[in-house]
Amino acid sequence: MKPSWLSRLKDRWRAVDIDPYYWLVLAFSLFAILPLAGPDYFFDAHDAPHTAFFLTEFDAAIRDGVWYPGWATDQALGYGYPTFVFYPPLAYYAAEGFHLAGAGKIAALKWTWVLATVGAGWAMYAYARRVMGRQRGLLAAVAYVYMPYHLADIYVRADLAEYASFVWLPLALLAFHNLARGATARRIGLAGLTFGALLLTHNVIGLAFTPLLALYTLYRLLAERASWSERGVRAAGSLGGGLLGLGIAAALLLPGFLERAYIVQSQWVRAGYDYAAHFVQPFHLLSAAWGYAPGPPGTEGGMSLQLGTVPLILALVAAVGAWSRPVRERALALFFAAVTALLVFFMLPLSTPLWELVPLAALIQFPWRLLVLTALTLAVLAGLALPPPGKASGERPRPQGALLVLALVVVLGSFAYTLPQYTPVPESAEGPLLTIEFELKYSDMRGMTAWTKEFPTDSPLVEQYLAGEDLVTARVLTPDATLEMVRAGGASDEVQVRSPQGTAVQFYTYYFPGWRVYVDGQRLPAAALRAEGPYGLLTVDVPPGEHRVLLRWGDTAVRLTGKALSLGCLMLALGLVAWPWPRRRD
Amino acid sequence: MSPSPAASSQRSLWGRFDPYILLVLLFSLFTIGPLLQPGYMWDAHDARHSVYFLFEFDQGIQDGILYPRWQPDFAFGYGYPFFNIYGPLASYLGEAFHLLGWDFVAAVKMVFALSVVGSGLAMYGFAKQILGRRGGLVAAVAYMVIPYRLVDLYVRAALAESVAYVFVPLVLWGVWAALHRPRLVNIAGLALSYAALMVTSPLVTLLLTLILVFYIAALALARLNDEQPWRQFSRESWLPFLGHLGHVLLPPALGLILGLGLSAFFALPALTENRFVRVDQWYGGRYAWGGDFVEFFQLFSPRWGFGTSVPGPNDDVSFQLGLVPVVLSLFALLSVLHPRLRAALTSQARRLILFFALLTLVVVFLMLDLSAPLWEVLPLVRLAQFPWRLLALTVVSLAFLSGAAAKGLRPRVSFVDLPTLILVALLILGSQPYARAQMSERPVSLAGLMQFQQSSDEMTGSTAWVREIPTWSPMADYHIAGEPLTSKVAYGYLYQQPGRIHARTLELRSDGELVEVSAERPALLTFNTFYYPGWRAYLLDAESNAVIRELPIALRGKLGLMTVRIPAGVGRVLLRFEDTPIRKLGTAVTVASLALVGILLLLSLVLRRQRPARWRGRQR
Repeated sequence: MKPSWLSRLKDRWRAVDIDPYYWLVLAFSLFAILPLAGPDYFFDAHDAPHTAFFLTEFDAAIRDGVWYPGWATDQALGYGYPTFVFYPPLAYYAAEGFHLAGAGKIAALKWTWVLATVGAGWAMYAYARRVMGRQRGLLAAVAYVYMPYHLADIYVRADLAEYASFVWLPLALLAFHNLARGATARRIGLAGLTFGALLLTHNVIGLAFTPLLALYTLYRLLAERASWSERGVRAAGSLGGGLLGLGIAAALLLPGFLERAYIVQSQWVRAGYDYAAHFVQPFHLLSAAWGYAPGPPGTEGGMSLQLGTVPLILALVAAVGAWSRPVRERALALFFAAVTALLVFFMLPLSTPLWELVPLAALIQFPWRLLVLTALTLAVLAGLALPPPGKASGERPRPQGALLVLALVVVLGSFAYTLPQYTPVPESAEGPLLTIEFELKYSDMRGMTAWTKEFPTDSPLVEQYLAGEDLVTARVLTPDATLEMVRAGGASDEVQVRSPQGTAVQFYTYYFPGWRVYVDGQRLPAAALRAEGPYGLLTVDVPPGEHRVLLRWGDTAVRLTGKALSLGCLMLALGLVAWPWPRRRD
Repeated sequence: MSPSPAASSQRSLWGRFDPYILLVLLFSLFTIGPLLQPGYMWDAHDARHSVYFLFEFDQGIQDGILYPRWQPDFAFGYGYPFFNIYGPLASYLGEAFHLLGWDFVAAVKMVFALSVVGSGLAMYGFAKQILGRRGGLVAAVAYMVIPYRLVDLYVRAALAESVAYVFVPLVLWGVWAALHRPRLVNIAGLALSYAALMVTSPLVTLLLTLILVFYIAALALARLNDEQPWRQFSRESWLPFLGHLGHVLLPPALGLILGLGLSAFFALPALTENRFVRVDQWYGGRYAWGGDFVEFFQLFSPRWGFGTSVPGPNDDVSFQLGLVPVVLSLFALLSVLHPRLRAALTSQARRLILFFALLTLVVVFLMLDLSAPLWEVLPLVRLAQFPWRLLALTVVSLAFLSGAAAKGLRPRVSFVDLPTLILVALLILGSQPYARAQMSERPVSLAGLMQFQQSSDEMTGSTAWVREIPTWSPMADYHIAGEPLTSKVAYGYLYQQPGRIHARTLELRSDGELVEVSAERPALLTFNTFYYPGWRAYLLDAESNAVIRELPIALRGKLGLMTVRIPAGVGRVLLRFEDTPIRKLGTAVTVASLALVGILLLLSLVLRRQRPARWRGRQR
């Protein structure tokens, strides 16, 4: 008799062999995520309001039928801003997933933080297990989760995208590590997926990580025993994986490079964001002081930029002990030690000339952002601080207990840093009012497009937002014309216009390439859309009579190409991974 | 199969280099981190002292004086024989950095940093002998991070004491080595380190010497017991016992005596001539012995502050022993007492653990008010000023005991193992929040020195002939105005005298002054300089500068300013700070001891060369 589908499923479930160390990593990560369990949030953290209203904007666009959001409709005092044309969306997709599943927006954010925390631990374990075994992998994973900058990223900076990028860094390393051992189609697909996901989670970290990844791949290609022709194949595979990743991220990268001129960038890279003011003094990397204030390094009560005492101790032992290790491990430890030293150098004022040499480096905004990468390298080194289990001089495997104690010491070293500055969640947090309140408080955060001639000081929408009314997001410019609001959505506005002699309709929306206007279902040519007034608001002429005018977010050729490329590469990568290739052993 | 020559040479290179030394160096980063910031901890208790000690020391060196005993700008410019009675080694180190191009502040910071690194290496060297490499590493890390070390560095900014931490383990190591391996090189090493300690901080040397008496006795008796067990002791054993005792004690005694000899250039004058300076302001007022004992809870309180100690329990400065070192020390003690754990320890390690545990207990007892009666009868110990300064001794003992805790854990493995990693991480983690300093920037100048002296009046030193300690001076006015001081002649006194009189300073140095004088009739020439043994005045020929005769020095006014009677006519007066016979004797003893040490080292080198290779191999 054929077994029923249920018993087959049961058999399958039984056959699933989850490495119990994943549970250990989860258990150790709990102390880092339990502070999220309370009813409060940490709205005083630097980017905490952003994360909340970005999700609101992202959600509004998705609910308005845009699968890859670009426009944040409530930003810039309601004039909107092409935030997601340039901002990596993957972390917000995750948050949106939780939100669509029923969680409130703040709760959805909290779940995303949890996912990113546990994900980072698991990802590091997955990589570290591959290169140094389970026990040391556990130590590396715990060190990674409790790296002070990792905790600062959540509870002090609340930078969701950067925090989520911690998940993909070790996974990308793992994928390219495997590729260097032998290029298979599935591995190329996985490499593309992880690298692409990293870029879509945080493009700046992704780009800063790329040289490290390239160096690592090169080192692995040379370290693995193979003929030069085989090495060439693997190198080509690695390159393919990298290109596939870039392709997957094309929807973000292409407009990021080609449409940057459409916004006023200077406001995001002036004084406060100038990298020269954000170099780190050597002591900042060592000081155990913890603070919450934003501002350049050295600010009183400012954010900690420490490397992490315990991870650093372990890394130093790993680097010094490398010489007493087998050759393979020696090379690995020395590689990561050298990269750490290089990254530290790039954070110090000493490296200013090199920063000036590379114009792209300014995009990183803050040299101390490289702490994301040192978190990765130090965590790997932390694992390597322990000798390989039970090899040298016929020793027994290391006692589990001592390893757990050391992991606990790692947790202890950062435990005090798992504390956010709790603030109650304001009522406005779940809606667009938060965006408006934030921009009223921090007026310099109102974005401008290339068609905005004056900095927006006011908008007719502000009062409507504050009063909690249904928004009227357009006006007619002819006195005898009337306008009736039909619908204001996250990526579209619809109005009914009546005018005896025709009128110009002005939307309270910045003009930006990609906007489409339909009059009674007929799309107006792009040339009919114009930017008017000091703020460059989108204006169209409507013929006499009664018309329904629809404004809808769409794509430019660049964005469309990017999305098509992304979709194509994603399909290709998924296909490479899922295709039942014949198994190949290394 | 034998290993390839390349592999074996690689191994021997690696074998010769001890990677733990690199670890000690790297781990010192956690303690010296705050020094990597710009600025200096100007508000720490003795921070200004350290910089201006070096500043004045440099004046002397720049004048070509190899050992500047007299500091002309102290006491508002009246001068003070500071380095005649204060250990100069830290300033010599600072001066070396200064001559290499660093400014005064940077040079002092370098010495602070070097003191941490050096102390770690010294403790590693000592502890490794008894506890092995891993025990040595843990002891070294503990020694660098115990909270009181951080108090000394960043709260007190006590430069001499910080540098002294380098030599304390070296002396303990030297004694141990001279006693157990009585070789010439060990004796010379002990002599050098003891001398260095003396020249750094006589106070620490004094305290350590008190401990050394018991340390040497314990080590010697233990060794004798190994070779001539007490159980078999009989009446006939006495003579061989005494002979044996002398034989065992001779090398360390020789080392220590030689050390005293090496330091004689400083120690002899410091010991005999310190009665010529007024010390009442150092042992009176705020520094008066007032029974400012440490409350028991303060030894464990995590409170940290950058303030000062006050009578009572509310000191704004930490006197904690350090939680992790204390717990590790208890582990170490436990491992001696526990029958199964003690097997992992050598008998020497066990004895030293007990010795240091006992030392810790005694020192802690002396810091508590329970010990007040003892302090009354031990005047020598009162030189420490405050009982809490004895914490410096617990740093040594607790560090060794922490290392011993690592020794007791597991048998040896290839490199740093898990338990050692845990101990090192806990030690550093336990102190890391305290590794911070309040940094600021200030200029270093003579004007700054004058302001500094004015703001901390108890620090204005004066010699025994000064009846009223000055609070300002004409020289200070010059310095504050930023004008160069060209003369220390007290013109006020000069022009009070009848008849035409003229005086012009031809040369003003940190150790003297050459003045051209012309007077119608015999007159008094007064210098704005305190008297102190060693000052001599000469009448010189105006043309040839030849000494005509020595002028007797008299003292004038409440300040006791040096005054000489000059004859009528034109001539020159040279006032010069010279070495007293005792200083000359000290220097001679030092030179002789140095020669002896040189000979010892040379001899040991020669003997080593002549020893057959086979023999050397066996010894190793």
